[in-house]
Amino acid sequence: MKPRETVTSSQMAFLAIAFSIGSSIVYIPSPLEQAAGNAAWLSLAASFGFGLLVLSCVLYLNRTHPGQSMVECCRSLLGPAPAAVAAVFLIAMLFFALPAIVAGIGDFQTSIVMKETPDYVFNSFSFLAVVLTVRAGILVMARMFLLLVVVMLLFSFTVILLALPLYRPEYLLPLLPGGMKPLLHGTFIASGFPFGEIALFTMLMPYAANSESAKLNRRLYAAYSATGVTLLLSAVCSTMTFGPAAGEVQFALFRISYEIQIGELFQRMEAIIGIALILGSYMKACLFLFILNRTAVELLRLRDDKALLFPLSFVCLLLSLTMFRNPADFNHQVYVIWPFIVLSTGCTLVFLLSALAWLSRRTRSFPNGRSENAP
Amino acid sequence: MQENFIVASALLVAVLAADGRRLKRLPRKEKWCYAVLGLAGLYMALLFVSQAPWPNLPDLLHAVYGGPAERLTQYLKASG
Amino acid sequence: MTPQAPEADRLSADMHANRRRIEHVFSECFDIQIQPWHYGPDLGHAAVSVYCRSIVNEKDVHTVKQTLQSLVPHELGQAESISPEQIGRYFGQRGVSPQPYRLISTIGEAQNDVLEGYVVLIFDGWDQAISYLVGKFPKRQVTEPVNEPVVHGPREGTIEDLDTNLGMLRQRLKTPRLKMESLTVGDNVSSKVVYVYLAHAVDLDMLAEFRRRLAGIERCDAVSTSYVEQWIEDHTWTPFPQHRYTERTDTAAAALLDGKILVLMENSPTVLICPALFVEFFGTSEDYYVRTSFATLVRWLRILAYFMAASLPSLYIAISTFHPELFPTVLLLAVLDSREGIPFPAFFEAMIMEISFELLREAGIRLPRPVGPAVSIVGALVIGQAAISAKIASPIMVIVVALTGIASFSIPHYDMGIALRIVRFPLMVSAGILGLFGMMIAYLLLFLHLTCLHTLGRPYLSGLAPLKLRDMRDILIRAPLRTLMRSPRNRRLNGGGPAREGAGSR
Repeated sequence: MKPRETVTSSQMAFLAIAFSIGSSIVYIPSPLEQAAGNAAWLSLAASFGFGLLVLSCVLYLNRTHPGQSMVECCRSLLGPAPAAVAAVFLIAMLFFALPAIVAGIGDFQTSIVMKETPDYVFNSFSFLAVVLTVRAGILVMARMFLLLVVVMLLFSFTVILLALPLYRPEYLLPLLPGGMKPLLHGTFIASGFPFGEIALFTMLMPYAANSESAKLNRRLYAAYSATGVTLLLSAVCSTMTFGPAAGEVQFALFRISYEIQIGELFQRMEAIIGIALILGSYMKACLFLFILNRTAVELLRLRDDKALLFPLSFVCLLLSLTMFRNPADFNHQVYVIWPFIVLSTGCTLVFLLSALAWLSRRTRSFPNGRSENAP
Repeated sequence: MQENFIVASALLVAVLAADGRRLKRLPRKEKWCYAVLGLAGLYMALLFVSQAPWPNLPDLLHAVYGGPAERLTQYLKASG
Repeated sequence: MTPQAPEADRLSADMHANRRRIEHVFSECFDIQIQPWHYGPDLGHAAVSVYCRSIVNEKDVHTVKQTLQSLVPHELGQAESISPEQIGRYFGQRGVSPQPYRLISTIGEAQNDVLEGYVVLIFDGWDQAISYLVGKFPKRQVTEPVNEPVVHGPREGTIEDLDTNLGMLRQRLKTPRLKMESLTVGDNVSSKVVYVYLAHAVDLDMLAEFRRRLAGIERCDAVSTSYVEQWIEDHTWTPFPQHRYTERTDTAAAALLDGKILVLMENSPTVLICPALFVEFFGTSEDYYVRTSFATLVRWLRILAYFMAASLPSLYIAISTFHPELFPTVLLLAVLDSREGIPFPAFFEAMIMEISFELLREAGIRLPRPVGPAVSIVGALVIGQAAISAKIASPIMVIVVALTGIASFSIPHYDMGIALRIVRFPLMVSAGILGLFGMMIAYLLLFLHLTCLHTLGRPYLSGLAPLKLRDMRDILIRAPLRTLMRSPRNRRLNGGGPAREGAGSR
C-alpha cells in the first residue's frame, strides 16, 4: 500500500525532533543522574553518538530502499515470514511504549499538579487528542508539529535561561566518581530512551517527498543534533542546579522551573514546563500511534488504513492504566526493560537490515565475486 | 471497582459510537482484525475494572527480555 | 453562438400581439407602465413603450421622440416622413443614437430589460424592439464604511450599486489585467454576480476551483454575497470564516494584488474576498498606512487581543479553581478577598457573566439607534454593579469579562470575532473540568481543527502551519514597505514566480 501524502524534508526534520525529544525533555536526565551521577551528561553524549549511528543506518535503508518502511524492507531483505515476526515484535514494542508515554502524562499530572484527580481522566483525554490527530493524517501532523516543536523548545530554553542564577558549575565535578560502569549504565539507559528509538523512524521514511531526498539527510542529521544538544543542555543544567541530589529529583526541568525566582516577576514558571511536557508527550504519542497503526496495516495487508485506530487507542489506553502497578514498577520497566528492548529489537533490526542491504548491493555489483581492481 | 466499570463502559461506548458507521462498511479482513482488537480491549477492560493480577503485556515482555535486561543492569550497577 | 429562442417567445411584427403578451406577463403589476404612441402621416403608425415606473426616472422617458429624432436631420414634428421599415432598417443595422440601446427579439428579453430599468420600445410592423437604459434608481451615496473606520487612509466604501463598485475598483487598478466575469443568479432575483481577479496575480488552479464551485449557483436566489460564500465554502460547520468581507475599496484592491478573487453582487454592498487565510484576519488596511514600528506594535496588540478574547475567562477559571498556586501571593489574596461570599464556583460565575455580556451585545445591535447606546451603557453599568452587589459575580470576574469584551471588539474582522466568541465557551468548559490540562487539550484539538481546514484548496493555517518564516514579516511584524514591495507575498505578481502553487502549499 503506497502512502499517498508526502511531507517536505523540513517537516520530516521537525517530526524527528518531536519523535526524539518528545517527553524525554522532562524525564531525562533524572534516571541518568541516578545511574551515572555527575557523568550523566557524558553518558548522554555517548548515547547520542550511538543514536547517530542508528540514524545513519535508517537513512542508508531509505537510500537503498526508497519509499519502503521497515516492514517492507524486512519483506524484501529477510522474506515474508521473518518480516511478519519482526513486525509482531515491533508491535509489541509499540504497545509498551505508547501507553508508557501517556501514563507519564497522567503520572505527572496526578503527582505534581492535580493530586485528587484519577489518572484515567488524564489518560483518556490525552488519547482522545492523540487519536483524532493521527486520524487527520501525517500531513496534518507534520504541519502542526512544526509549530508545536518551536513552542516546546522555546519554553524549555526559556526555563533553562531563566535558571542561570541557580547554576553552580562546581557541581559538575568530580566527573567519574564511580568509574566507567556508571557511565556505561547511563549510556545504556539513554541509548534506549530516547536516542535508540530513532530506529522506529524507518516507518515514517516512506512519507518523505522523493523530490527532496538530497536535503533530507542533511536536515535529519541537523534535527537529531538539535535533539542531542537540547537534552545535553538539560542534563548539564540539572547537574549544575541540584548537584549530588539530581538523581533524587523527578522531572528535573520542572523542578528547575519551580526554583526560578527573579524578583517578583519571574516566578511560578512550572506551568510553562508543564505545557512543554504535555506538548512533547502528545507529539511523541501521536507518532508512535501512527507507526503502530502503520505496522499493523502493513503486517496484515489491510486496505483501510484508519480502521484500527480507535481499537488500538482503546487497548493502549487500558494498558496505560494497568501496566504500571506503582512508580517503582514504572521506573523498572521504562529504565531497565525498555532500553534493552529498543537495543535488542529495534536497533538490532535496523543494523541487520542495513548490513543485509549493503551486502545485497555488493553482491549485485559484483555477482562473480570479482574485486573492483581485477583486470 | 464501580467507578472503573463506569469508565471502561463509557470508553467502550465512545469507541463504538465513533466507529459505528465505519464498521459496517469495512472489508471482512478489517472486521476480523477489529474484532480481535476488541477482544483484547475487553480483556484489558476486565483487568482495569477488577485490578486482578492477571497476565498483562509487561509480563510477556518481562518473560522475553526481563532476564537479560536485569542481568545487564545488575552488571552495570555493580561497583567496579 | 447563443441558441435560438423558441418561436413562441419571439416578438412578432404585430405590435398589438406583443402588447397583449407583455400585459399578460406583467399582469397585477401596477408599477409597470405600458404607454402607447402614434407617429407618421396622420399619426397612422403605432408604437408602445414599456417601463417600470418604480425603477426608472420618469423625467428621462422620452425615448420614442429620441428614437425618431435619430432618423431626421431637422426638428421632428409629428414624424410624417418616418415609417416602421425605416426604423427597423436603421436600428436593425445599429444606426447611431445619442443614447446607447440594445436590440431585443424575444418577450423574455423584454421582460428582463423592463425589470432591469430599461425602457422597451415596440414598433408596429417590426419584429424587434429597442431597449434604452435611462436614469438609474437612486442608490446610497459613497461614504466611509461604518464597520471599517480608519484614522489614516481613504474613506471610500462600496454601496449597493454594482456598477459604482466596479468603477471604484477600476479606478484603483488601471490595468487591462483586471478581469471581471459576470453571471446572473436566481430565477426570481435575477441578480448579477461579478467575480474579479487580477490575471498574472491569481493562482490559476485556485481560479479553476472557484469556477467549479460556482457551478449551479445560477439556480440559487441569492440576495447577498454571503450566499455566495456559503455556496463555495470548504467547511460548513466550522465557526471559522474561510473568506473575508470588506466594504473598503483599498482593502479590495490590495486583496486583488495578493492574488485573491473578489465577488461582488448587485444590491449587496459587501465584497467577498476568496480565499482568506487565518493569518489574514490579524491585519487591516490601515497597517500599511502607518509607520512600521507602530503597525508592528498594533499587530502584537491584536494577537494579544485574539488570545484574550478566546482564553481570558477560561484562564481565570483554570487558575482560580485548579491552580491557585500560580497566582503571585498578593494577587491571590486580592482574588480570594473579592470572591468572598460568592455562592457559585468560578466556572458558573464566568458563564453567567459571559452569557449576560453576549445578550447585552446582541441587544445593543437590535435596539433602535436613538435608544441603543444609552441602554447599552446603562445596562452594562447596572448589570455589572448589580451583579457585584447581589454577590452573583465578583469584581475580578467583571473585570475579566469586560477585558474579554474589549479584546473581542478590537478584532478588526467581525466574522473572526464571532468565531472566537463561539470558541470561548468550550474553552471555559474544558478549563472548568480539568484546569490548565483541560485547556491544553482543548487548544490542541482547536489547533488540529484549524490545521485540517482548507479554503479553496489552500491550508487555512498557511504561514503558521506549515510555518514559513518568510511570511512572518507580514504576520508577526509589519515589515517596511520597501521590503514588502521588493519581494511581494504574491510571487506571481509582476511575472515573478510560477502561476501554480508549489511546495509551499503543503
